[in-house]
Amino acid sequence: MKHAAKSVLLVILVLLMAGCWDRMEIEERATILGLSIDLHDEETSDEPINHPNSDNIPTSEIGMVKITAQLAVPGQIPLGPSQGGGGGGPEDTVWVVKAIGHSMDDAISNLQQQLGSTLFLGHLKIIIISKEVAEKGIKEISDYIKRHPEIRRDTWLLVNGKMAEETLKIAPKLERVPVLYLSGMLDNAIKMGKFPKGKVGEFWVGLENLGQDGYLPYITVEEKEHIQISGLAYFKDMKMVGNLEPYQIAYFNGITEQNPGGSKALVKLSEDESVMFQSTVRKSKIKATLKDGRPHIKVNLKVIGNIVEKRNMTIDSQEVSQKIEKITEGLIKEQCEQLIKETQEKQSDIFGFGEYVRGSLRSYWDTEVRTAEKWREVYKNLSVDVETQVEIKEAGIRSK
Amino acid sequence: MSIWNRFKKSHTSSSENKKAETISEKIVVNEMLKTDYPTAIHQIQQVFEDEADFAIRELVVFGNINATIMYFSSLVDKKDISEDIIKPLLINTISNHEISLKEVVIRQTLYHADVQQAVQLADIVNGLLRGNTILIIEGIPEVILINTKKLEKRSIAQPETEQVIRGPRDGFIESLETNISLLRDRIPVPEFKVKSKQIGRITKSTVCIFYMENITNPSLVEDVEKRLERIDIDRVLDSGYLEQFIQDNPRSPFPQVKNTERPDVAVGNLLEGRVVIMVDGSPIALIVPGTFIMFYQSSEDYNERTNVMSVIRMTRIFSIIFSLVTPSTYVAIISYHPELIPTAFSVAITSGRAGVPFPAVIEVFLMEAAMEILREATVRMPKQVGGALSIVGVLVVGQAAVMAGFVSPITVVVIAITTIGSFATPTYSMANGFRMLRFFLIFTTGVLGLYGLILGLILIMNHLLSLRSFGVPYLSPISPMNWGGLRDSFIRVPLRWLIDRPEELFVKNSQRINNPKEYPTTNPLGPERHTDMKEEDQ
Amino acid sequence: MREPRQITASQTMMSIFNSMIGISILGLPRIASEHVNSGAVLVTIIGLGIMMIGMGIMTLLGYRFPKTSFIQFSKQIIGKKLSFLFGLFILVFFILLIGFITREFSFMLSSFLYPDTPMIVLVGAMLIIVAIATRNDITTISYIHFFYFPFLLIPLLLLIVLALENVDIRYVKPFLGNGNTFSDFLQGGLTIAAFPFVHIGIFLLTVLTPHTHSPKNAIRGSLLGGLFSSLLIILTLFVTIGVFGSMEAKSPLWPLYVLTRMVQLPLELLERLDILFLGIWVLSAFTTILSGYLIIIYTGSQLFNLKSHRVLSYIALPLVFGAAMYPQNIFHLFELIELVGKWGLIITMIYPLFLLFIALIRKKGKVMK
Repeated sequence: MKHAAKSVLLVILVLLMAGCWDRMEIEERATILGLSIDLHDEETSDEPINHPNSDNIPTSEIGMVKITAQLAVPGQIPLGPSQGGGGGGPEDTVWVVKAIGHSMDDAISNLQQQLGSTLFLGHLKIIIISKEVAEKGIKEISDYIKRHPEIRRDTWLLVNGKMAEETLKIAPKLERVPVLYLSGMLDNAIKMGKFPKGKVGEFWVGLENLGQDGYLPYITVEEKEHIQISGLAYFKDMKMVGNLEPYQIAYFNGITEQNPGGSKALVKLSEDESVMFQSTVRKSKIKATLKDGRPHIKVNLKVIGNIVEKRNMTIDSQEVSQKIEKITEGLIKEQCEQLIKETQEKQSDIFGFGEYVRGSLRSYWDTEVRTAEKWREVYKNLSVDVETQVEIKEAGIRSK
Repeated sequence: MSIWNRFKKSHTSSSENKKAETISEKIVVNEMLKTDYPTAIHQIQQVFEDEADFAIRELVVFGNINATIMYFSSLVDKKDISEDIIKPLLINTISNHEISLKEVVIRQTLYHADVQQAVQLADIVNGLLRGNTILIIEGIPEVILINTKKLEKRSIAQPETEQVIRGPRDGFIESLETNISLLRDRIPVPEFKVKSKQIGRITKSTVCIFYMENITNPSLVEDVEKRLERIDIDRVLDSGYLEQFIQDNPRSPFPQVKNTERPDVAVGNLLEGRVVIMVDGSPIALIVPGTFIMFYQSSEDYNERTNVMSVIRMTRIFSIIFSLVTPSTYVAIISYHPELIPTAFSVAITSGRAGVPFPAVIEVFLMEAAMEILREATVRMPKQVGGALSIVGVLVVGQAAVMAGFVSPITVVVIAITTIGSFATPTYSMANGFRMLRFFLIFTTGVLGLYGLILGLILIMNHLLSLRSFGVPYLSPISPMNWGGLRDSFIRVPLRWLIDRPEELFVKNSQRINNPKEYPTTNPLGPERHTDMKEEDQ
Repeated sequence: MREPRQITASQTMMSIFNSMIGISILGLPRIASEHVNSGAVLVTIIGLGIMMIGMGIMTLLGYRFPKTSFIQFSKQIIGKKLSFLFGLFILVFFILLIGFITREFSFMLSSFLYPDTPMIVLVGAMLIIVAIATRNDITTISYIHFFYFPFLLIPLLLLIVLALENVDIRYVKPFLGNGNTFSDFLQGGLTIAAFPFVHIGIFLLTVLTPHTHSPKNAIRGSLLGGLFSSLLIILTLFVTIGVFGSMEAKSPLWPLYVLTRMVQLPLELLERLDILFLGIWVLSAFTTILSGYLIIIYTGSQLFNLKSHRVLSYIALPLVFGAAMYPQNIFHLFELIELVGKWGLIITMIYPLFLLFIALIRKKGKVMK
């Protein structure tokens, strides 16, 4: 018995030594930092790896996809701060590879076929889908991303106005790895209060919830070297139905209480008087009530902020500041209502009003709504009341 | 673990019947010295036939009686012999004939303090070999042993392994007598007990057990004595020999017996209720039972300010954990889970590692091994060579290896941090244990990544938690926890709050401080007095 | 060296906490919201309430028969043959259960981190470490639990605090869930009460109680342990549902693990807390499996009148290992866990209740004051 235990232990040790099954050095992995997904419209077929080459291959609802990946090239990005002169531009440090396939994984397999080392998605920061893809529906893509154990929920899923792959090709001057620049830009936008929290995790939450829809950051590429956050793409179920303009994000942030505040609004007081108002704190109280057997949403939005700029006027009294507050309140109310109306038309409840209804009006939900589709119908004609309240705290360090 | 224990048990019993062995082949047990004077001398001479340093001096004492003095010239103080033995023997005459010759010699003649009698040959031979001078006088059947031992010994110096900035500078030396004097001097109470016994069939080393009769739990002393009693070995050259025999788990990488060269540390532990063991010929005292946290305490902790020393203690613990897990965490991240580090950093590491021919496990293993070789080489080298060696080591292992693309720069950083961290342990033996475990963790991590690392750590922790030293849980006072003990573990609270002796030792008298609350802040020179003075002035 | 050490109330509490916080709670939000969507918190409270009743029964038995093990006093109550039969059931049940939860944990590791490592290694490594740990006596094992307690508690609290800011309160509303009937809650409550950690938590008492300092300690420790771990489980469930919403909580296999992958410290360098939490989950799996394994070998040793549970430490290994390797895939495993867990309710709830009942009728054991 004693010897048996010993020898069993020995056998196990030997087995372990033959192990290291999942060992793969960091430099042996082809670390994909960014992926972009486009529609593949040309007639050229992919390399058949996972299926015989024929026409009747079932594809996803979006047809064939083209995947572009941005990889970090090992050995090109030096450790630590670069010593002067030596550092190369992004063209040297990253490598952009393309592949096409009938489905996400098919395309990824085709991508793998082109690479010597194993694809590694653990550091995937950004997935960019083109507007066309988003409009056709991202069910399969979303499923693939969710299923893949290496991809995290804090990945950014973006919608690009035109070709998604363009985004990966541009080369900002500030960062050696373009994708890191882009994800840093988005993170920073959240920190500055200019953008709602909208990583893929939050998107899925909105998507799955019955009384809510998902939204994604919407970006555009300007002049091939310049990325710009230009709104929010909102979804109806799995399909993109429209996008908010950048200025509307501020009001969206207000209604969904994204803090810290930071977005600015140009408030026009009269023909030639205007101030620039910047929010610092947003407080929003949303209540769902039943009114005549129909749900009614009451949004109570309070914005606290500062004046950062003015034109043709003096700000020197409480009276003036109260006047500005009043006008700003009106502006915010108008814009919010406009925003809600827009999404109602597209039946995309990105604010999650439905969740309030589900939470507070349980019996109504259980009898009348029950499903996401039904909620979208209700949402279309939902009555929403927006009440706003603005508080100006500071006006800079000038006295007038 | 304990299967091996059971396996071992069958062997131990057989060694017990070896006890009856004779001290030397030349001497029969219980052989008496012949009473006849010339025969007796011959008998002793026979034992030490060709010894170069064996000296015989023949005398005629009290005018007409033959006597012989024998000694080992290498072991004795000749001045003592001349002044205290030969001189009085030759000068004195017998004035009172009513008492026997033996009484005259012992009581009236010899000046020396340490005089004994013996009749057995074995005792006499033993005495000679331990530095006694023997005096055989015609007509006295007993042999008189006079302790004239004199050995060269070094003076008391600051121990090199346990240096302190603030604290006493004396350390134990190789002479047991001096060491006892150092302890007795610090504990001048009759409750301080010293028990002595001889261990070692050939070396016959004197082993002393020290404890406080009114503090130490008697069953602990009993257990220590029992464990020492069992030892049957031909030699005890250092207290380390004893440690190997009395510790609970000889296979554990963790030392279960604390050793020290400092008398103040020994006294401190004695007063906490522990037992100190010392061997003649070794400057290192053993303290039992040893618990994990003891190896992270230094005597200085109690001499300096409490908050500073608490931070330093925590630094020590942190550095050992750090040096234990850093290389394996590095391996886990590089070889298994690169997604766990920030992307920008990961991309940079990839660049540093591009072109390195080995996987991270091998790389770290090689570097660690190189580090161990370097360390071992510098420890054994003379100081002058050591310096040169470390320069070569730094240059070759560090700079050149990276330049040659043999290892990645980050690996060098990791190994360097690890090595520095492992030096921050006050106890050498504990640091050694952790060095070994570091390799074990690198191995488990190499096989299973982070999972292997955690499992390895769990294994080590479980071992620590199940370890006992003389029945005391090794991790006490952390587990099982006692609040009193925690005050002197990771942190060291002010001495006036350390009211009780360690709970886990079950001491007889646990009170360390009798009046913990009677340290009020008085204000002899404060404002009150100033106002008084002002009033007087006015 | 001194008087025999015994388990204290706090050690009992921490042992139960460590045994209950384990792999099962990683999937709990999914199962709870599958049954009653946003009523998940309520259904968990119901399930854990059932568990507390089970624990109460067990402590009452332990109080009536202090210093005797479960198998011993069941022999006293219902006789040798019947108690042996039930003991055998207990043994088989726990062998299967421990095998399955080990497998579930290995599945999680395999799917997230070790796709190529053979399952046999992932399962085997854990079980061997556990088997080695059970070579210690029960007091030492309670020390082990005691020591690991803060390592589980503090990160869990950290997780709850960090996730709390992302909690959207409307996702946990309505408290009763949408479109649920009473039977949904009962079903869900029973499913949760049939979770492996519940069985382990309850049955661990039978191992610890004979070794506790006094029956009072056992009662206090077990009730505190049960309540405290229930509280933490409910809190983790609350934040998981609050962050994901009950719909999204259904989609990952182990929502709580996904949550730990998501939370971030507000510091750049410690961007990813996985490394910490992965360690914590391995540790929690270890403590849970350790308790379960201890139940197996302790019950086994009592059943077969062995000198000490240590004898079985390695003998039980192939059995548990076999149970762990039996399920074919993750779906099969989940089905088996639910099936075995529900049958296990008979063993951990009904059987002790039955024993208590008989003991009361036949007036066996110490009479309550």
